[in-house]
Amino acid sequence: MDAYARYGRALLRKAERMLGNSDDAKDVVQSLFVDLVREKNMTSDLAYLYRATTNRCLTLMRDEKNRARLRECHDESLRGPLRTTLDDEVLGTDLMMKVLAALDAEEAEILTYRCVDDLTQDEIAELLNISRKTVGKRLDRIRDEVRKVRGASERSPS
Amino acid sequence: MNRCLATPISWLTLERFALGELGADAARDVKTHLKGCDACAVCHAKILNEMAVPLPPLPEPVPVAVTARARVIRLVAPVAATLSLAAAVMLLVTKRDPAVEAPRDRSKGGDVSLALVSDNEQAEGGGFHIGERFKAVVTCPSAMSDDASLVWDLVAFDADGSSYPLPRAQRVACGNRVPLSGAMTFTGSGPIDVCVVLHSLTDGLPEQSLAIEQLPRGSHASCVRLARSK
Repeated sequence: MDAYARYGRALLRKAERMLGNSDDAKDVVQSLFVDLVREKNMTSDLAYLYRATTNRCLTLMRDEKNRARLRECHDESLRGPLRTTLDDEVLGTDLMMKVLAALDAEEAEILTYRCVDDLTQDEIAELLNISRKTVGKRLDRIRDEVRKVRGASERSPS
Repeated sequence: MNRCLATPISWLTLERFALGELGADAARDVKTHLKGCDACAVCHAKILNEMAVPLPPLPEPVPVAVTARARVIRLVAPVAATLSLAAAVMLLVTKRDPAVEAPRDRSKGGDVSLALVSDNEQAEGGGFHIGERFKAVVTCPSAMSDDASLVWDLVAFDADGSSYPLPRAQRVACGNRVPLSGAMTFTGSGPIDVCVVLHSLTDGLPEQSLAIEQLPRGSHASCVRLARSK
């Protein structure tokens, strides 16, 4: 499949950044392309594939047992340099997983694009086909959730 | 390493830049940014460095022969006496009392076996927990790899019927404990029988699986039964 040859490596990197685990990332990307082939979906649009990979990773991470496993075998180096902050704070993987669990599907996607993939608000708006204003509002709600989760973690460190 | 002091170039843009998919203006902006930003340059270098790394192979697409969705489906026909073994070898699970079976790696016929490997090293053999992740590993004679028309399916049977938890129609370079692509988890409260099935693409690929009772009792079989752990 041409799209796999061209974009597979980029999607693998993307899944590795999200999951912090090469084996899981490989499974996610391979299963995506296997399904695309089965559906005779010959898309070669990187943005579409990027979103599909994101959503598959988020689905994996929504499962509590998967999250525990990903934490245990997490390779932080796969995330690459942390370049984007939320309120001047870089979100570590552990905090991000906790926050993701408290967000709805679109918010989880936005947080991922912002803090894992370093997309600007304009890029997120274009990718999700929503307005930049909407992205901004969703990020405000995400910040509230980050504060709540961080507060809860500080009260009950484990 | 210094942090990016301006707006970081997103990974998506860096990927497009590396692939030559950005417009001239955008590419010039990225190039300028990379010259002055160590953090983004590291990300870009990672992309370039990995370009030469081969991708893991993708299971090849295969035609689906049956479109009707039903509990009972056709598997490859039992091997006819006049055909070679490689034409269609079927591996199946037979229902046996798990208490008297080796729980995770059971082969019949001696030449092919299936084992399920849990990601939980503390897991008890023969059992599964909800969310516990398994990889399937197959041991098969290398001669089986010679026939390009043979592909592998993994079928799980439970009280609700059958399903294919891994990418279908996988090609395997036979040997000892060769992993199938993908991983799986199981749900439900009852026992689950898992079998690996070798199809011949010349017969087409079944969409669903036979009810386990209908599997032919051939001379080549590999069986795994998992029970829900308490």
